[in-house]
Amino acid sequence: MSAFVSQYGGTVLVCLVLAGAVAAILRGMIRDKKSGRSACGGDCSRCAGCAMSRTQKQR
Amino acid sequence: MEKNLTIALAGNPNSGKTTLFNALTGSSQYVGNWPGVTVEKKEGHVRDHKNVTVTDLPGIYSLSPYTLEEVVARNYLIDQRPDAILNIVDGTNLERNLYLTTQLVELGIPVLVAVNMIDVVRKNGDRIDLKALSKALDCQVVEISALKGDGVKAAADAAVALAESGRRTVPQHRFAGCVEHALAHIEEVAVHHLPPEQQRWYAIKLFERDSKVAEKLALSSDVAAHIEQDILDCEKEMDDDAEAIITAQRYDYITSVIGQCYTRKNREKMTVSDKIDRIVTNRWLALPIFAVVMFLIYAIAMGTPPQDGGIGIGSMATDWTNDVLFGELVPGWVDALLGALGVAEGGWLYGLIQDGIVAGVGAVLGFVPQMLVLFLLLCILEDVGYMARIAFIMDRIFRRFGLSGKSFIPMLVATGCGVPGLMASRTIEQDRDRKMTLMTTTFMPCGAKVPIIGLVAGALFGGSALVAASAYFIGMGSIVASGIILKKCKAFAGEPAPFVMELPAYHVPSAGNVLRGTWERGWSFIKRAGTLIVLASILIWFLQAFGFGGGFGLVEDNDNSLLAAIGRSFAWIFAPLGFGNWRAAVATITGLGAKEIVVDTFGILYHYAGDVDLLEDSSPLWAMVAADYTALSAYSFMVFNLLCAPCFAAMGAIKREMNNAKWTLAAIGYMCLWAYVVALIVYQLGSFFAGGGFGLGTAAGLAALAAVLYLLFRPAPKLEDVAARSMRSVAAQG
Repeated sequence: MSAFVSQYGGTVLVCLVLAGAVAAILRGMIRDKKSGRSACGGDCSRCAGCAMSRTQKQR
Repeated sequence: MEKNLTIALAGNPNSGKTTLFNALTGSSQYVGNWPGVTVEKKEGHVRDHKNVTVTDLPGIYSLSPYTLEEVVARNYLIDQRPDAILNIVDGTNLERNLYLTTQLVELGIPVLVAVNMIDVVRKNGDRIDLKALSKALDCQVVEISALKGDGVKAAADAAVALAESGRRTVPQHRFAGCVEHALAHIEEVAVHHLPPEQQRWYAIKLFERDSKVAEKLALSSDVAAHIEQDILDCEKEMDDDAEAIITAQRYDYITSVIGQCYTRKNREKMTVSDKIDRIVTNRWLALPIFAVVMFLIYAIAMGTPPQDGGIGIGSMATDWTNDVLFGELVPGWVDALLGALGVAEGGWLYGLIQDGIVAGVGAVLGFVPQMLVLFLLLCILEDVGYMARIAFIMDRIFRRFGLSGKSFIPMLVATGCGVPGLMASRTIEQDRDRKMTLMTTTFMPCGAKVPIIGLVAGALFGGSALVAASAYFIGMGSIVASGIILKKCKAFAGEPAPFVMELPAYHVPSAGNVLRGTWERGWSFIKRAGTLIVLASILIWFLQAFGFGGGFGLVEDNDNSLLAAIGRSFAWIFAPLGFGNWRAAVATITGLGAKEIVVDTFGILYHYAGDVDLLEDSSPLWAMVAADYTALSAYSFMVFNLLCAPCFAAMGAIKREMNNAKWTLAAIGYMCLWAYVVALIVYQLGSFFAGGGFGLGTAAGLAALAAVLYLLFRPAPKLEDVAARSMRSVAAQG
């Protein structure tokens, strides 16, 4: 067991961090999509032509 | 407990509402120095009065429902009835701004007038007597400079106090006797059931034959006929139509108010803005000046760096970011970290992180300095007031080809991101012009396309500013050419929409506005690199690392990968354009996710494939890309990727705005076809003139050019024919 941890512990840790990061990104993107934020990555409340005003977001 | 209050910010376009909104709420809404920045209302809380909500309404010239902005603002004011209106008035253009004020005071809502740009008024040597203005309008008047923040707090406090007091503004203006007589009749028969303070506004609108107000009040036919007779009697007596009578009398009143309170120092003298405009909007000089300005901007942002004799400050910073930060430092740190954690070098996890995520995301982020410099310069141009002049200049050119200058505002917005640019097309009333704008707006190089331009200009053209600037002009040229071609089609034919635009006075750019605008555009790009680009990098790395070379597994050379097999299946489509290799084909398709993924894909594919040691080579990506392309094929690749279908987010925006699947497909299909044709002409005819000989491709290029020229110069269908066809179509449907 300890041999496995010493040999693959780092790899498992990096994999977990990576998987966590991907999950967090996906969760954030899905949340943004559901809340109506544009997929362009911009913040619509600050956007020149965007219809998604603060009021709509609060709603 | 404090009562919740609402204050509406209302005023003419570009009078400084959004700047004041930001100052009042501590918000950072986008401020553009051209009219029409706020299409919909935005809300925030006043800093020192958390119970007070401020609503930033779109800029309007009147309360007549002529434009979308006026509909949004008017509906809010008459339906929501805020506790007070803070009316922002541009002190340098009092006459036109007071036209709206005379209508706001008729709503029966407390009004506070804030005379903005008072610093400019004083600088011009003019003087506004606030007491006299206050007396004439029967409302409190304060002076502010929203840009400098002068008087903003006092204005906010006064507006809050007014909202709390509920003291309604009583309109002082009285129309001519017969108009007042008609209004009294209308009030009696049609709006008597409404609260007294609202009756006058509704009566005036009914007198103006405002169909939306008549509809809202659901008048019976008897009442409508009675009112119409009153209006007709008045029109007969005044020998003019009702709306014109009201407008003329409002202006007469405003002239008398200004006579009491405004002292102009130099009545006939030209202002500095007028003098500058005589040159920059000159019929012959305007376009060459614009071309030089844009060339300089691209030369500073993306041109040859100073160490090589150029002025490309952005390129200098990008060179460092590409070569040192993401070429040496970050890979070195990641290498050390992975080594310390015991992740084997050469294993799949090491490859995924180093050759996938670091190489891909690094390749994209490397262009951030160029992008920030470009946005900074564009924001300065915008804040100074020059971009508004460009819209004016472009309208003059567009109109000659049957297009409206209104289409240029979405294009200006699209230089940051195509999505808000597409949404800004809502301000175009004519459906055909709006559809055409939606089909062409994303031809403009948005921020995400900057890395593609930077990569091609840097790798193949030694950071030539001409190549970078040409991307901007190819985008604009495509819009003009598409406009001409589409306007000759039945679906788009017709007179262009009228475009009235106020040119703001030139002013020194505000550091806050410029830095905020630059940062917001840049930050959205950086944020996306940390989300969408990371995911794309992981997916692309897996697809190019695994394959079926003797059973499924990791492949030595990504030429044998799954991605290579997928890419080769359609790479032939791009062969006539000069980039028929699988890497370019894949990058073109992945770019549909987000345009910067094109560079992300190159970063992954080239870092992985080559033998170059990331830590030792100075600029592996650019050198390896350069080795696989000729100048022409790379330029053709850039042109195609600039003009073809935009990213999925922009396609979604097109679908939403078109609200029609067929039109959406037509728009995307047109963009792809146009991109293909232009890239074909560039590559094939370019190769021929470069001494490549005449072949089948050259013939195809010539045929494409002939087709484009025919579509550009063929006679336009006569408008009467189009109208007759439309009427026949309507009759057939009926």
